[in-house]
Amino acid sequence: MVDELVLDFHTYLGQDAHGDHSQTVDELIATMDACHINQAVVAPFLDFPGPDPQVHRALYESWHRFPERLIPFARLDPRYGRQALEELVFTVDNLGFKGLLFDPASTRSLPYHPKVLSLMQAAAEREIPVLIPTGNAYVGLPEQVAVLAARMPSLKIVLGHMGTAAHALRAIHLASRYDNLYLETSLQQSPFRLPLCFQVVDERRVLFGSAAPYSHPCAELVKIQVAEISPREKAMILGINARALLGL
Amino acid sequence: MIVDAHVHLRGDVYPGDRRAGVQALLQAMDQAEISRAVTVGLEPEDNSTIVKAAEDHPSRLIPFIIATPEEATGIISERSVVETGARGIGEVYVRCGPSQLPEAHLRPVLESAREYALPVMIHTGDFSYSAPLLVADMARAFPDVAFILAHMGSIAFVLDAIEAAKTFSNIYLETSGMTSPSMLRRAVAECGPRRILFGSDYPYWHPLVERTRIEAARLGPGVTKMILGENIVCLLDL
Repeated sequence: MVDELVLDFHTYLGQDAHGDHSQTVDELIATMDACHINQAVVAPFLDFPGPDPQVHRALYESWHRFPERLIPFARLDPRYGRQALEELVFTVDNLGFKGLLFDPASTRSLPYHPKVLSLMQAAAEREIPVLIPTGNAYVGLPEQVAVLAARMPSLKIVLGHMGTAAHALRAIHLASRYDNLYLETSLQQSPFRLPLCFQVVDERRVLFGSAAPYSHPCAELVKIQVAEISPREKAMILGINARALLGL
Repeated sequence: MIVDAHVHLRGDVYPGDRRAGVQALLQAMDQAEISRAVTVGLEPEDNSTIVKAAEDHPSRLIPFIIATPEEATGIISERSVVETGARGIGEVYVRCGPSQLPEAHLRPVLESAREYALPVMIHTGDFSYSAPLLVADMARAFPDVAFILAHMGSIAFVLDAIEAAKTFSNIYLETSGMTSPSMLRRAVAECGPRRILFGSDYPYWHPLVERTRIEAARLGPGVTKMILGENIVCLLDL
C-alpha cells in the first residue's frame, strides 16, 4: 500500500478476565507478519492491580523477545491510587514502558474524576501518551474523555476506537476542538469517516489501530486502503503520526 | 457466489456525505466481488426506492421492506408482497420505550412476517432496546418466524447474540460490524455454521472490509462459503 513502516497503535497480550479473548506474543507477531505490520503498541488485557499481578512482568518479557516490534504500555486501574501510581513509576521509569492504557469501562472510572487525575498528571509529567478505549459504555464516552483533555492540555490522549461507530462523529468533532486528542481507528468500522477526520482534525492526530485480537489487523488495514484519502494521508495514519507521538 | 445480507440505499456517516445510492452500492459490491445483496430500509419511505432498485437490478439486489408497527398491516399485505417482490422485513429498530414490552410493541410486524413467511431483520448492538436478548422473547413467541440479528450484537453484545441463537433455532446472526474473529469462531462452534450470514451494512461500512473479517477468521473454506452466501440463499430460497 505504502512504503512507510506500519505501526498498529492498539493491541493486547495475554488473556481477558474470562478467557473470551486471548493473544500470545507469538500469535501477535505472526499476525503482524501476515498483515505486514512492523510495530505494535501492546498493553495487557487486564488492569493492574488486578487478578494477575504479573501482567507487566509478562509484557516486559514479551517486549524483550521482540524489542524492535513491540512498544509496551502499562495498564493501570486508578481506583488503586498510590499503588497504581507506583506501578506507573516502575513500568515507565524503570522498565522503559512508552505509554499508559487506561480503560474507563474495565476500571469503572470517569476519565475526569478527581481520583483519576493524579495518574494522568504523572503520565503528563513523563510526556507519555495515554490510550483510552472509548465507545458503548456508560464510562468511556468521547465527551467524558474530552473533559479530561480540557483539564489537562499537556496530556496527550488517544481516543481508542475513536468512539466506535456509534460515537465516532462526535469523537472527530471533539478532536477538532482539543489539540491534545488523537483519534485511533480500530473498531470504528467505517472507512467513509476517515476523510472527515482529515477535513476537521489536524492531520497529525489520526492513528491506525486494530485492537487485536478484538479485530483482525488485516481487516482494519483494508479499511485504510479503501478510504478515500491521499497516499500521504494513509502513510500518516499508518505510522508517521504514531512514531511522532511516541518520539520514535 | 457471495451474497451480502445487509445493505442500504441511503444513509450517510456524516452530514453532507453523498455516497449513497444504487450506483455507489453496485460499485462497492463489485470492488468486493459480491454478486448479490439484500437491500433493507430504515423507514417506510425507503420502500419505493428499494423496490425500484431491485426491479432495475434483479440479478443483483434482493428487496426487504420496512414497516412501523402502526403501519404494518397497511404496508405488508399479500398484494404488496407479490407486487414488491419483498423477501423479508427490515431493518427494524425496536423503539418501544420503557412502558411497553419489545415483543408487544413489534407484534403487528411479527404477525405480518408470520402470515407471509418473511424473515425479519432487527438492528442489534447499541444500548437498551437493541440488546440481542430482547429478540429472544420474540423468537419464543413467533417460532415460525426467522429473526436476523443485524450486527450479531456488535462486539459489545456478541455473547448475548450467540446465547440467543444457541437457544432459538429461528435466530440468525448477521456479521456486519462484529469485529472479533474469535467471537465469529465461537458463534460457529456454538450455534453451527448455517445460521451465520455475511453482511456489510453498506454505506455505513465497506463490503471489502467486512468480507475480509470473515476470511481472516480462518473458519475453513466450507464454512466461509456458507457464511459468505450459501446460508442467506437457503434462508431466502433464492
